[in-house]
Amino acid sequence: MKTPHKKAVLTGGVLGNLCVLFYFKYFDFLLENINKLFHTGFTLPGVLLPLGISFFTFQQIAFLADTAHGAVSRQTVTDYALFVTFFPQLIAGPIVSHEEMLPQFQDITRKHFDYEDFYMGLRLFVLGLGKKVLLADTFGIAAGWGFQNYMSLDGLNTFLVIIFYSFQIYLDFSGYCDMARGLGLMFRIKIAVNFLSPYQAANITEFWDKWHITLTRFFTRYLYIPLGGNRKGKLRTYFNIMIVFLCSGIWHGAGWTFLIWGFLHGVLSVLTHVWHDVKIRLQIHGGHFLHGISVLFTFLFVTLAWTFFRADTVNQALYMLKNLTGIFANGLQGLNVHKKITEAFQLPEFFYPMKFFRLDTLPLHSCYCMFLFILAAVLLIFFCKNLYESEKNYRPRIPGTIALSVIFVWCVLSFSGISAFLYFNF
Amino acid sequence: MTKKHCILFAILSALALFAAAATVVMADPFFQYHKPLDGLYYLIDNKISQNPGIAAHFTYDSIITGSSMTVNFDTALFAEKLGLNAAKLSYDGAYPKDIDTILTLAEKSPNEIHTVILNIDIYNYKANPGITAYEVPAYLYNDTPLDDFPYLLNKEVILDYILRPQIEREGTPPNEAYCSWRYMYYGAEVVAETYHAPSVFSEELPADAFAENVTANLETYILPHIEKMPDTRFVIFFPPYSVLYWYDRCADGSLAAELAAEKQVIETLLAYPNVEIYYFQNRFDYITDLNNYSDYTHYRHEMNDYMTDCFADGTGRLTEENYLAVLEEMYAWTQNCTFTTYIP
Repeated sequence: MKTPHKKAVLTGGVLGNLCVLFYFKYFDFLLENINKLFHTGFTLPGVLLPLGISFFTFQQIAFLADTAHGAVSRQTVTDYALFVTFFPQLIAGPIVSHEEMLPQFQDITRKHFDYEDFYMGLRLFVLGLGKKVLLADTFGIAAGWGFQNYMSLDGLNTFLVIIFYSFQIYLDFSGYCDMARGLGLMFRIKIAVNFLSPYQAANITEFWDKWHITLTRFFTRYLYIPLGGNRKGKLRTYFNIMIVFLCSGIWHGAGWTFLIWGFLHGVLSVLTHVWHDVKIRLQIHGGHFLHGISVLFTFLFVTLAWTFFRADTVNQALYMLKNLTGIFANGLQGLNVHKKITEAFQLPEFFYPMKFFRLDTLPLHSCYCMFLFILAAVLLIFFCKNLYESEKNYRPRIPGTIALSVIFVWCVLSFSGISAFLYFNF
Repeated sequence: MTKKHCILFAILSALALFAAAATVVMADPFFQYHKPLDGLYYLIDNKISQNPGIAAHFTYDSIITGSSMTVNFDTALFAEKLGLNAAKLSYDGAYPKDIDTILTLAEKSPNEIHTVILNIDIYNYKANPGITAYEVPAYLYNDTPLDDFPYLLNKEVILDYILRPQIEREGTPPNEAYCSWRYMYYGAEVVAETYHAPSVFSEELPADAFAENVTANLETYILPHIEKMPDTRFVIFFPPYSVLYWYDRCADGSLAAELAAEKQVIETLLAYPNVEIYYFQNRFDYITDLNNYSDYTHYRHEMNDYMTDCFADGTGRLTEENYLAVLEEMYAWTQNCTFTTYIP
């Protein structure tokens, strides 16, 4: 195809994809803001969001761009359709690229069942499922209640709710990425690594190299570099970084809270670049202590920024963040964890050990389950090797297989709860 | 080598899941497949999950249903005073459609239903038809066992409803299913914790404001059952909310409309020879003493016992002759009551 035609087809294709995404994801948001700004009364259509649209839209845009640049050879429609809709990565990524997927689809040697790949995939899937169902969903109960009842929380409980949401989203996404890779591997398809212990990052740039890696790759390839990247001077680089993070914010969700979340990450990324330059100029070298402080700072920043990501409104997020200043308002004596938060962690399986070891007679016993979950999350998030690193030398053993089976059964039995409601108005 | 591990995983997982499902089928704490087994302890405290099983597999000749106003009825007292073997099928916050759902299930059971005890909360009858208090788990309410996996493979069912009662050697006494009074607190100071006196007073609604919805709710969800079971005695009662409930209705402007709706319901139901209506909202000494309540509507279980006596001896029953006078008395009381003196 000739270059002008190529450009037109590329522009048309990208715009077409973005229009579809815009209609489903942002049309309500746009009308809502027009109504607010101009006091109009447009009815919000309340369009339902197709599952995974943000992911497959970006995947298709990347494919179009690479095709226009001659990086993609001619493909069959079925291979292309499989590339876009391959179910393990369809719902929540990773945003895979054609060069890592299409050759695998066409590799005849992969088209037979392999026990080794299946077992490794199963292991990844089950461990990811465990992270999601057993840990993330439990933190989610406490965080969900807290964000819904934020007005009634004091400083300590607001702090816990924000931390628990941070753990929830980490374990949720980490678990999902493991499950996606695991499912892919069962079909002998290697899906890109998307998550590499991001809370162990020492700065925000490193964080984005480890969190949703394929999204960062997409924005770098198809937005940051076309905008000029870091080739047009410092100020332009910072501007480009801000554009990327604002786009990342609005990509994650249609709302001002997401834009602010993206803006905050953009600002810290710019400051990190500035600090990096200063460090080089002044020849500052950090030791282990400084690294630890940096990890803690990055974690706290990311966690506080998640407040905007999770809150329904900007005011809610600001209220909660302001509430944090009152943690010690009543002194150490006033530090009481809300019953609803501790209850979220008191799963039925803990009832028996608590009774058997008579832990329920000890002081602070209502918090023990919560402490246990926090300990598990901290160890897993900050100190354990991630599955990608640990799988390299993994060899199946009987105890490991039994443990996998136990986790799998435990997860399946945890899928369904029992609807129990206490209703006091009749 | 890896093949062996894949097979081990599949066998272990399948066996464990099968054992879990088999345990649930055998003990069946939600009574989906059979009635309670002798020698096992059962916890009966989850109305949404256990009502359909109770309706289908228990043996009874009467039903107590309605909202949380009915949960503290003692079925042993029903046997003693009324000679009835009653099953309690209440729902917290029951709307007419919830009542319709459970009555339909009970009608499908092999039991012959002699009496239905039902309370009426006008607040829920004035709502749009079709509303339910909560979304019910469909797999517990349909006939097919094929979608029962959320029940069969459920750690809360196994740990909380099967293992725990056996380890503690304690289940719910059969006459106290769903009773809430053992864990509720009562008294004016308890009511004060949850009651927020109205600060805004709305304009009075027209008297017929709720008439359309009340008619639709009755005709769609209640009357078909009364007509379908002409030999069944329907004991329908209006429970005694506290004085604060009526203060709230004054504040939101719905008092006259609500009393008009009560009149409409009473007149509709009085036309049926198999319906008895009891009115307890005019127990003014009782409803003005907040020590009888846990919040602005929920009374002590002694009131349920008292109402049971009334169903036996006819006290508080409305008839064609007295209902207008009773409602007028109620309206006059609301007009003369100095509500603010009762705010805790």
